[in-house]
Amino acid sequence: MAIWDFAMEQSELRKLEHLCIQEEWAYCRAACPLHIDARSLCQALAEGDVNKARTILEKTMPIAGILGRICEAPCELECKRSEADGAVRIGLLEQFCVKNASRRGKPMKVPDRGRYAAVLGCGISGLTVAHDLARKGYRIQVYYPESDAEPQISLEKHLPGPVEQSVLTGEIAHLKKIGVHFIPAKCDRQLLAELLEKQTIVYVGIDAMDAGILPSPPDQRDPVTLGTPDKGVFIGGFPDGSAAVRAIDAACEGRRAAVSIDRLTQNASLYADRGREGPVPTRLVTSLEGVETAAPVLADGMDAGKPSLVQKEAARCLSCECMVCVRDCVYLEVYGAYPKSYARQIYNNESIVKGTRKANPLINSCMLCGLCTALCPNDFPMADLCLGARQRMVQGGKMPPSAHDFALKDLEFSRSDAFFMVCGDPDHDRCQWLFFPGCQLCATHPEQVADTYAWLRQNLAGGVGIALACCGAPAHWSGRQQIFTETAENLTTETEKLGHPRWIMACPSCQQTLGQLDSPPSQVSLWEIFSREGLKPPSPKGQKNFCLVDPCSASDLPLVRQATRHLARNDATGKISEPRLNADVAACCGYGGLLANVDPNLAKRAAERRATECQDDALTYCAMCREQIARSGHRAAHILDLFFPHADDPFERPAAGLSESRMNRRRLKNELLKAYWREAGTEPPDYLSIALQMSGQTRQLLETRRILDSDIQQVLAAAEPEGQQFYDPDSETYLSSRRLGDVTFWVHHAQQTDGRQWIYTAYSHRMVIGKISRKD
Amino acid sequence: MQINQQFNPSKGSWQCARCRTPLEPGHVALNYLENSFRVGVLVCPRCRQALIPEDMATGKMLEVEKLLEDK
Repeated sequence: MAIWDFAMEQSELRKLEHLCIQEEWAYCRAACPLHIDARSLCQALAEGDVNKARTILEKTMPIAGILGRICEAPCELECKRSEADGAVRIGLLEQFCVKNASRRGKPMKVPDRGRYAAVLGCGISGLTVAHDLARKGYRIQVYYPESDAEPQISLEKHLPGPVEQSVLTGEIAHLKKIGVHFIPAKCDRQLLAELLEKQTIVYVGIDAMDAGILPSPPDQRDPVTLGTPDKGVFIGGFPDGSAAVRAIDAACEGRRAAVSIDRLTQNASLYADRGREGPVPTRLVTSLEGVETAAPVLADGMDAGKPSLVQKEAARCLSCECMVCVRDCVYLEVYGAYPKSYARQIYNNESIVKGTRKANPLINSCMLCGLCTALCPNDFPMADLCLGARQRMVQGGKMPPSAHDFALKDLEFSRSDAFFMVCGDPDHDRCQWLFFPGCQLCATHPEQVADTYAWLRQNLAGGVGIALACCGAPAHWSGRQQIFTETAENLTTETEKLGHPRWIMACPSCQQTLGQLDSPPSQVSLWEIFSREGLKPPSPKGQKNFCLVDPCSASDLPLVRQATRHLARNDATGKISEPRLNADVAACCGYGGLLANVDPNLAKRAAERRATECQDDALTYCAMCREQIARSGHRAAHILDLFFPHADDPFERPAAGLSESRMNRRRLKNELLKAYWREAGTEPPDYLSIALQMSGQTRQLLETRRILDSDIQQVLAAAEPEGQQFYDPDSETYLSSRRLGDVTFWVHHAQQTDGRQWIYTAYSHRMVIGKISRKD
Repeated sequence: MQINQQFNPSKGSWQCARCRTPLEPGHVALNYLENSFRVGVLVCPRCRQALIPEDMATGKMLEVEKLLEDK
């Protein structure tokens, strides 16, 4: 995966934000000419809260008492549910809402802001203009024919009517309360001329007025502003010129005209940013996966008055959103939002000069597996975003020192003489092959690595060398590009001395990481070699069914996935199942991106989720996945455990501890050197000879605190001659401490009669102890 | 971290292993990322050694370290 190396300019943020569609409008809302938030309306009704539903409706729907009863509900045509078992009957839900809940609270009359406009015609469009502008503090005069004793709302052109007179009267009363004046007059050309003479902007609603009063033919109106060639005159209410007009379209025209009138009044542009008015397309993608069938419970002509039915119908709403990435990633889920919001948080984090960079954990917790990108309809590059941010934090000296400390020290260990070695085949001057098991496999499966090397030497011609090293992935994941480059270059320089061997990769993460180099080595996976050579694992006793768990690092390695499937299947194998998220959309076990360093609890949750998806015992070909899943309590084995078993039940083997992982690497190197090259190997430091003993509980605690036996041994080795040490005569125990690098370690211990040190506890801090003084 | 806040080990009658002097309440300056705090802990008045108890290191100190790292 190439790093998308953008500097977080605001324009780049905008591009990123645009990729995430979670905030796009739901299909119903985008299709609604007035953009009614039907999703929230349904949620409120599903909760049985009709009053809340009415409030939601009132936010965007003008004269809701009428419109809520006669709206033609074009939203239903776009309802996502219509692709499954029928659209949610949003129109009927609106009707129920306006019939069963009145407006909440006192009508708000916005203070007079000295702005005026006139409306001719008491139709839906005209009243929408009046409503919208009154809510902006306009004082609106609505003229109605003087022949009527009271203003009569004209609904003849709208099919769904009629509406009870009491409702119409109620809406007029409401409009009056928010600052609309109704004036009887002879609504003719002369009235229009008089209003224009007085510099009043006029809206003429053709859904209630005869177009004959207009000075210019109505078809000359501007489709965007609804203005006419006659300055100050806006017209609407007849979108397609037909006799029957959808009420919702008439309202939409009223809304559009109200925006124009407001802009004209304020000398603002009449044309700028008007693309989002009326029905608009939405980029939202909502999946119907897992949606249970539930046919509509309301139908046309049916009395939608039964609250239980309404609640049931409203509950059919899918609450359309994307969240496709968040649903399948514990990391994205735990931070409570979605990539668009995260991009903004990361951008803001980088802008902080003084203050707390609250998004640091967000940046450092991404597992960098790329699952979200694979699932996202727009390939939102969350991993690249976080990795880029990490690299910039490192460059700017803003990376929290403790965040990746343990992993980087482990990398240093793997680069040290204690583990690092690149050796050619003892029987060949040059090697055609180089076995690269990867540091983690050596740490957890040293015996199987040795067995594999022996097998490769026996079965492949042309000489097989071996490299014990780290590929540099921890440096790459932590944003330390320089260390990564150094590590990889050092490795490739050493291996070039063997000729130009083809690397046999046992770790998909190493394969993925080294594949990203500018000049990657020629690689083939161990699994393809095994598969090609026809190697089949002996079947472990009683083992029939597996769940084949792909590591996330193999998502881009189809040949590896194909080979492991071939290897896993043999005569004794029963069913081979797979977790839901596998193959090219495999979820991370929690190790990736150094999450286990940054947030061990979240890493544990990721592993547990991975394990939960395994119906049977997990079989994987990634040492990290195997350890993470085993640690979560699920039976798990590495595929090499099957080929070269070293236990009766490899699925039961506990995960290797941190200290054991280091010891295994040291031992493997020395054993290989001794077996193949007759060399003594690297002498371990003296302090490793200090024998330790502790309870299982203490061992567990030290694992959590990432304190190694070698840390404790170094403290104890220095305690007496130079270190800091305290003694408690009551318990006859010691508390010793020593600064090792940038961490001070403390060990509570006692010498046993057998010479071993019993460890009660150990802890550490990064703060440096300065001046010590007696109490004043 | 509060000045004058005293952090003592949960149990034990600790003395300096070097000079066998019983520890007494004192102060230690703790420095991290260009910040400094003065905290009350048990010290050896002769050898000038300070005992940082487990609760303090894994509690308040860790909390402050993380806070400073995100600054």
